[in-house]
Amino acid sequence: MDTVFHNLMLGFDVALTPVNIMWVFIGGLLGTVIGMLPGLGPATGVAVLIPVTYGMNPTTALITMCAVYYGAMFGGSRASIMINTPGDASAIVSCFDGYPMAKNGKAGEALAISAWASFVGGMAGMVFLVFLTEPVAAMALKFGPAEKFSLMLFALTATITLSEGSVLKGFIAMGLGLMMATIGLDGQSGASRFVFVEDLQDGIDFLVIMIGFYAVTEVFKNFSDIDQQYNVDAKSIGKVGMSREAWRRSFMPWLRGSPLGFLVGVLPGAGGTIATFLSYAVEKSASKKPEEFGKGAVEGLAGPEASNNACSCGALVPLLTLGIPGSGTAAVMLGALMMLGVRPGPVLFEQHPEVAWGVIASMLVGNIVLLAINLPLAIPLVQLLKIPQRIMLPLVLGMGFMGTYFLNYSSFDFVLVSVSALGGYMLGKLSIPIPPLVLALILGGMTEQSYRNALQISNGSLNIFYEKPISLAFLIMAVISLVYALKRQSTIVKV
Amino acid sequence: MTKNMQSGIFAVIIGLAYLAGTFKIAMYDTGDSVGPRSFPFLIAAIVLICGVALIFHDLRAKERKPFSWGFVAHRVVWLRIAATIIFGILFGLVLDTLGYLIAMFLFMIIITEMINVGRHKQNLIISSLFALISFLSFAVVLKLSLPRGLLGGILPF
Repeated sequence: MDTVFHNLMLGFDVALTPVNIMWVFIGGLLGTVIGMLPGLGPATGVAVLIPVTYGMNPTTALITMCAVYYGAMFGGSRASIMINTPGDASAIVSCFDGYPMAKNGKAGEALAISAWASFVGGMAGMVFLVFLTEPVAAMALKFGPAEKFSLMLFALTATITLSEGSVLKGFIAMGLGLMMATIGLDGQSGASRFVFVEDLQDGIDFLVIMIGFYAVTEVFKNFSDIDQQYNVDAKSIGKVGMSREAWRRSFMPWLRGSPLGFLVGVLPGAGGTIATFLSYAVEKSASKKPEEFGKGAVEGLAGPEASNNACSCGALVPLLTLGIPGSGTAAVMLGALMMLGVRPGPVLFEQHPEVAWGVIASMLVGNIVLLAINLPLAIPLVQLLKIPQRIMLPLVLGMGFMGTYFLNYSSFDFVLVSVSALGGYMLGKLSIPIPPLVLALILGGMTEQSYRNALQISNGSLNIFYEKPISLAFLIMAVISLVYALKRQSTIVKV
Repeated sequence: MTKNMQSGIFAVIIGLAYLAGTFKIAMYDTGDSVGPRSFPFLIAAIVLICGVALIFHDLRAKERKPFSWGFVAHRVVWLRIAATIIFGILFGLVLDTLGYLIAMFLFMIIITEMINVGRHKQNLIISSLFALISFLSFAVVLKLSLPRGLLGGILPF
């Protein structure tokens, strides 16, 4: 307890510098705006705003990216409430009761419930994060190659299991990601692998692929909808605040939604979408008036919103402690951090506690800042929904291509970003999920390295993977997730 | 052809191509008993098995809905995608020669004209402001290296 408190104080020393507070504010505001715009989720937000972090020290960069991340989680439901169009997939559930509330003349109250629920969920998630990171990181330090390989295998299978769509397609996506990860010079033998052009000698910079998948592909998806324009009537919003009745009805959903969302967030691949749908189902079954759900029930908005933000904190646990991103956005953040020379993982807490705890403390500060942004500025912020897609999309493309150049100052990266964007669009059309591909691309190198190191230690015997208890536990979890996925596959035929 | 069938065929083709590439990896005696081929073989096997399984799964399916890429029905979308890719790559090629300001302005004006059709004045303002503000933010304020190209001798900042 003392250690946690001491670490948190160290974190506040870092987070409460004027520069970092300024970036928490800017990042949170930009994230809120991007998360709010239909079709552009937190992953897109972080991907296009990566250039903003260039030139910063790694701590400030991570603080800014986290602020964009949870800013986007705050903002995601604005569009759901006002125009029945979610900012991203995790805000779909907010349409169910948020939009009916707005239609019933309670838009201001719905916006306030959403902001307060996001705040409570975020704060609760941060408390869990504070107490969980240290023991998980300490345990991860004891992992050898066999444990690391099994852990990554579990992360990959869990991502496939929890991704939407067919399991077979999930495995194909994972295979594609691993294929891309093997391109370049082999780190152990120096052998050249799949190097068709000289520019691939050092492998594929996965951040370029991320910008392709999460920024440019998203623009491609919106190309069919460029004339979309939303009408937001500011006068109909009313007072942005919660009534006593709304407070009373929100309290229990917050208490239930926050831990639920956090737990879902910790699982690799299970993002805010699953957390919010689960929370909605829990609230509906716990309610004495389930018939009110879908017609503007406060509980149907408060629970999922708290769950969504707690989930974004949960996703940071595997990222910060194990170096394994728990969501698409966390994957983009991991890529950006590695570019800045910071490798999240257990060593981060041991060697750079000021970075790890500075970020955690900044998120506590950020939640308060975001509440302060989202309540008084709710009306001017939703006015941004009036910006038509035909103006927004070129700006996102411009940011994406500009960010690509900054990564390596290489013109070849423009080929990679374009090809990956087209690939992402076509894979989406074939319903091949992107998250397993992205995770495999990021973890591919480490997975192979751990696999080979473990086999070297055991003189080529695979027994090493199940003779070590922690490794065996991860393998069992991987098998369970696979069995679950295959069972689900046999009952639901996905097309 | 259904979506699953196309996905399965795609996986088999990619898997076979990757497997062929795996055989070309040189083996060195570096004391690494596993070698650089072993892991790629595993990956190729996973993708091939899943691709074949998807094809069989589709052949056995009772309901088979044909899937179209919409190259004709949605040709405007595909043309926009193709144009973005072509001009994106061209942007990268001319960036060093023309300089960031000119290249980004040209890229943005083409993209805005393609998306924000017919609003020339608006597009001109968006493109110029985007190029200028991003240049000032990154090259001047954050002091990141950006090519100045043709305007190198003229720029006051």
